[in-house]
Amino acid sequence: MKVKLDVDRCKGCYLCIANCKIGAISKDDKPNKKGVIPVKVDQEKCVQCGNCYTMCPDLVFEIL
Amino acid sequence: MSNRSKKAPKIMKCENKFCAGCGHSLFDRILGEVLTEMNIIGETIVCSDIGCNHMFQYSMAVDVIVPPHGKMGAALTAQKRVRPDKYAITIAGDGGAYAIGLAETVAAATRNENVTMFVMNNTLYAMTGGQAAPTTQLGQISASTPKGRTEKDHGLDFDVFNVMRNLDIAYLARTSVANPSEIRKTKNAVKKAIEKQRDNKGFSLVEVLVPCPTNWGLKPVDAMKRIENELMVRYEMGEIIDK
Repeated sequence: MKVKLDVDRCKGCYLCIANCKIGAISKDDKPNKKGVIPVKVDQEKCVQCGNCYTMCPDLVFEIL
Repeated sequence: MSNRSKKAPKIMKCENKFCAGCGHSLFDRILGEVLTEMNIIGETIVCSDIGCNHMFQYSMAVDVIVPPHGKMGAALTAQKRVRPDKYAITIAGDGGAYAIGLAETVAAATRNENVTMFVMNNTLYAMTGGQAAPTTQLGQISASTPKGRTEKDHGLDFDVFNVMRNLDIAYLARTSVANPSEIRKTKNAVKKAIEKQRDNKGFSLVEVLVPCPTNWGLKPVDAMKRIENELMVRYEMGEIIDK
């Protein structure tokens, strides 16, 4: 695993999707505890550039 | 754990209370990272202005005092003179620092007090519902300028750097949080501003252009694009004074 997500923190701003240059982040299917559709990461595609961590206002991402 | 690993610093103790896509929470994390890297969390007291920015204190484990609204320049001066062993910094908004507390901000800069101000500029009063501030851009729609700000009715927008650049201060910079590269620049500016205080160089101010998707009526991604395409073009960016 390359990125760990705390999806319950996600507020659905999707700045991570806009800033993921290789398109490894997308919207999930089910809402989280807040009732927001969170994001999911394609662990295979991820190159650990850290843009998602940098742009996330809600500290959802941890690059391992 | 690889050398690319990134984890939020422990100073960010819990979830923040900001809206989705808010720039304040991005800045708070940047400040948390810098305080952690410089190992000065216990040596810092943050003056908290009133406004959306004051909500950092619910999610950051740092000492805070809350002076009267806008009077950050005066409060920081007092704090630094009473406790010169502690770092005196503030997170303020453009409404507090450039409108309600403009006199105190400029007076502290004129005296070149050894304090650090971080001003979050989102071009309106966010917490009270998005009314126009002195920084609201011409043509910008806000709660109190529903047809857009006009020169005839509301005057021109105000850039405090036109005043500050002529003063004898240690550090003056403007950055944003619009993209990862700008966030890195913001982090460097924050670190440099605190280092100026550590080295007793004098007054430092970093203005950070932050989005307010809620009051701008834009999606978070579009709000970041507005900063890149409109505000970063309109304002002079980068380090303006570095002594």
